[in-house]
Amino acid sequence: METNPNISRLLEMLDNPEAYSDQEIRDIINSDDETRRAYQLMVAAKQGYIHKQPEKSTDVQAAWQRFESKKLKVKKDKSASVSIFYKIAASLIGILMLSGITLAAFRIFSPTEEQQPTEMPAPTYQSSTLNVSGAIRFSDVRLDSILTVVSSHYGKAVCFLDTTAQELRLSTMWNCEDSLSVFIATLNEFDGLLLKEEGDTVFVGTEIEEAE
Amino acid sequence: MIDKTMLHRLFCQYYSEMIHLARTLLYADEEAEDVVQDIFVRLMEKDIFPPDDKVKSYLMTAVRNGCINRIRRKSMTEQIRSLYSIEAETDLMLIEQRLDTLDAVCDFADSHLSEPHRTIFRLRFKEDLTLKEIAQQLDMNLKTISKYLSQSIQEIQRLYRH
Repeated sequence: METNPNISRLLEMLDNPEAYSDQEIRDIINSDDETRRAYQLMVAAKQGYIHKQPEKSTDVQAAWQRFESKKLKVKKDKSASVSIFYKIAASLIGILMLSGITLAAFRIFSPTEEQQPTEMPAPTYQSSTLNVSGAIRFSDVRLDSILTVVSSHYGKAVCFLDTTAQELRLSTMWNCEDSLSVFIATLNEFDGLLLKEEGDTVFVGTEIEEAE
Repeated sequence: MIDKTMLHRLFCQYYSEMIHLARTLLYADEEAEDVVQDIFVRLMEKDIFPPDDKVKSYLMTAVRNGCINRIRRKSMTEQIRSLYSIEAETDLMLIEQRLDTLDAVCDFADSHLSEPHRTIFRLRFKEDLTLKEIAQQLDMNLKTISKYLSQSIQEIQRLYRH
């Protein structure tokens, strides 16, 4: 059987990746479709042999104790501070929106020009709601673009409390038959990202670090 | 509000499956445990209780996403040396479907490859040896090892389009 020289080159590179730049690595993996799929297959083989190993007997109670001592105590106050922040943010925005000075409200949360929170307008329910069905895959898409599609489907407005979050690029899957809270929970799994639904608005911020 | 008792119940029910998936994707026990623990911390911090009929799917998706985030934070060299998935398309396959694919690739390799191809394939991807280490262990030429492995990969690709 003839062998694809690009796959041989890929195997050689995998033994010594330090000798290559990131671009060279990408170029080798993407030399041709067969080589790109060969890398995927090698990943699948490695993962597969691990997955097929009988599950290591897990002492769940010991794991829970490690979890309690390592993570739970350190973080237990954090949820309260985050929740209070969002409640205050939502209340202030609500009051100021009623006063007709919505734009000023957003500036309260971000006094610098570079970090002006942005509200994406709520779509009108009848005319702008996107007609989508099933699962939609977002691959390396800006968060603001993702939320434009998703929020429109649920008829919600989006308010970015931190403009840096708008530019985040994510790969994720959205099933429009799920509730919005399910999708928000999925996005909240991305490190540093924090979304919360309050009334007709989805607030988007980055993680608030616990005060020292 | 999700309380510690509810969290403990979820932990006891799903931890084993979650840690197995994390180990499969990250290959490292300690890092896998860290990913799974972080998920439970976030459930509590963000007051998330997944819908009853989607708890498992939610938690397994969270494990997968957590592992992807960990992998993406590693350098390209490290990702490649460890043979991590670098394709968003593969990453976002449905988890059950992806796990079935992994099992099928290994089953196919173990049952269809002839010797010495099968041994070389297993040494490379199961034992995680380099081509040089395999050549030394089997007392074969490095180029021969590379050729046999390329042949195996192409054979699996041809007969089993994963």
